[in-house]
Amino acid sequence: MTTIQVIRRNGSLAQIEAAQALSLMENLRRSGIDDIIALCGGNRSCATCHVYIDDQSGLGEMTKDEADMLSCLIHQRDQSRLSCQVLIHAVDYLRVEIAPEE
Amino acid sequence: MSAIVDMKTTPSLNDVGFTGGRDNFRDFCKRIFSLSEPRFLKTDTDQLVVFRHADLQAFGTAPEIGSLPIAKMFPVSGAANEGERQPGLEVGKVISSQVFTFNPPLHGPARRILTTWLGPKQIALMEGMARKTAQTIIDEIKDGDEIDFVSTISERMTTGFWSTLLRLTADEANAVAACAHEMTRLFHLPRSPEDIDELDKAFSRYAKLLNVAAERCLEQSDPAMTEIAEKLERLSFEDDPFEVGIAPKTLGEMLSGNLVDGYHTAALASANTFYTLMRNPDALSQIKTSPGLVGNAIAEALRLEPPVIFLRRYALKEFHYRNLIIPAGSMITMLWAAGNHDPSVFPDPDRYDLSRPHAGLTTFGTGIHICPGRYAGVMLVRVLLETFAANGIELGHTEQRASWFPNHMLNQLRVMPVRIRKHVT
Repeated sequence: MTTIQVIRRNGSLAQIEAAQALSLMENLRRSGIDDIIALCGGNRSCATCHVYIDDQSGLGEMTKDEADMLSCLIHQRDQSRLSCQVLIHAVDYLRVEIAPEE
Repeated sequence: MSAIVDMKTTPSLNDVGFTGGRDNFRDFCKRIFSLSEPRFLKTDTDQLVVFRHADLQAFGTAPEIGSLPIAKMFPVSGAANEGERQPGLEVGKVISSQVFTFNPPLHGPARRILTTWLGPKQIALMEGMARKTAQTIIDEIKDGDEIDFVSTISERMTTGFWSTLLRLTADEANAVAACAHEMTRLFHLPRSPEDIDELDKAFSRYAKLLNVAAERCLEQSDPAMTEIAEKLERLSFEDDPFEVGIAPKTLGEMLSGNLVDGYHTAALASANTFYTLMRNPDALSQIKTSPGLVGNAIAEALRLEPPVIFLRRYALKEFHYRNLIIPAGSMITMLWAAGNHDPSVFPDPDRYDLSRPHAGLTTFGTGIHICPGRYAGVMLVRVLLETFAANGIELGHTEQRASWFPNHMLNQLRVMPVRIRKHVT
């Protein structure tokens, strides 16, 4: 399991225990973090699962498709990721902030 | 043990009284969601119909389920016999450049050209232009006017926005608007020979106009259009109208193919949103006092009255789902609008609820084929709402009632008469 600390859009904090076989987006959705809409169902096609992750070590490289999608977002930062593309099997702890709605 | 889906025992849409169109669709949802079975339905041509939210999500995100290839819908080249016009050819030539007809490996790179043109960041930069269009429309209507909201506001807003973006002249914009109006026939159930004939004429005129606009944009070094044209040059795929698709060869083809929805279907979003808000005056008052709620207000309005009722998809490979096998080559009808009315996800689905969570909305589809123009569509609705509020405009009902197209694939208002009240601001 991976422990994830989540900063929600309203500023509140949540902590979830995440299944390492699932993407970060799937874990957030299953834990009831409904700020994550994930309209496209995890196909890097909508960016409604946009999050910020300060420490991205152990999360794997971002693909060009993901980078292209992020580059279209108003709220893109250096720490931006699409949570549907983030695999967490190699990390024990993650701090994630849900990005503002576009 | 999985088995091929048995169409003989699957009830048809007709069995449950669904023939298309908004009013019919509303009754269908009430009836079908009061039952736990059937899981699927079929069309009168034995296509599988997917309508429950969980199934729409599963089919929509499955890589096995792709776009319906152009050759399964319209002819794309040649003539039946020399000198004989092939019905639907002009429609096919335009639609063949649309990403909704593309499958991998063409789909991803072609789609990214659109998403990097119409992403949230890019659409935010186009807002000023949309505001000018909205203001021009509003300036031309007077206090006390009785107008048809669809033709006077919604269609003019979308036509004005895209035409300004593509540098069309006023005459060209009017001509494209007339073509877009005719495109409604594309969604009739069934399409008559006259519909196809009129569609061919409209699509031919529309494609010529957008080609002229595209060439002009390139001559004038329009940055966005130049970038799209450069990306198109790198889009090198062999034509495959029966599965992968036909990559657009020119900027004009790319624009005309993919702006059919921009010019035509996006107009439904504003008409349907205003229609819903007029029937929920409390929500309208709330967004006037709390403008931050406008995004939720639009999402909820379009949940209730989404522009698209259903579209068709195609099984690229055999698809295994819930002990069923959907064979490769199957056409599938995705009743997207029904997902928004599934009470297992949206309790009390006919109620407009401004505070309702919107995770799982099927308004714009889902998966890799989700509508790439949705940010533009929603922005145009928001700008109209904000410009109406800024100009102190209220809409009132008239004696004549709004009416919807029956027997239609879209949730489309035929007419929406409103009375304009302009307050001094």
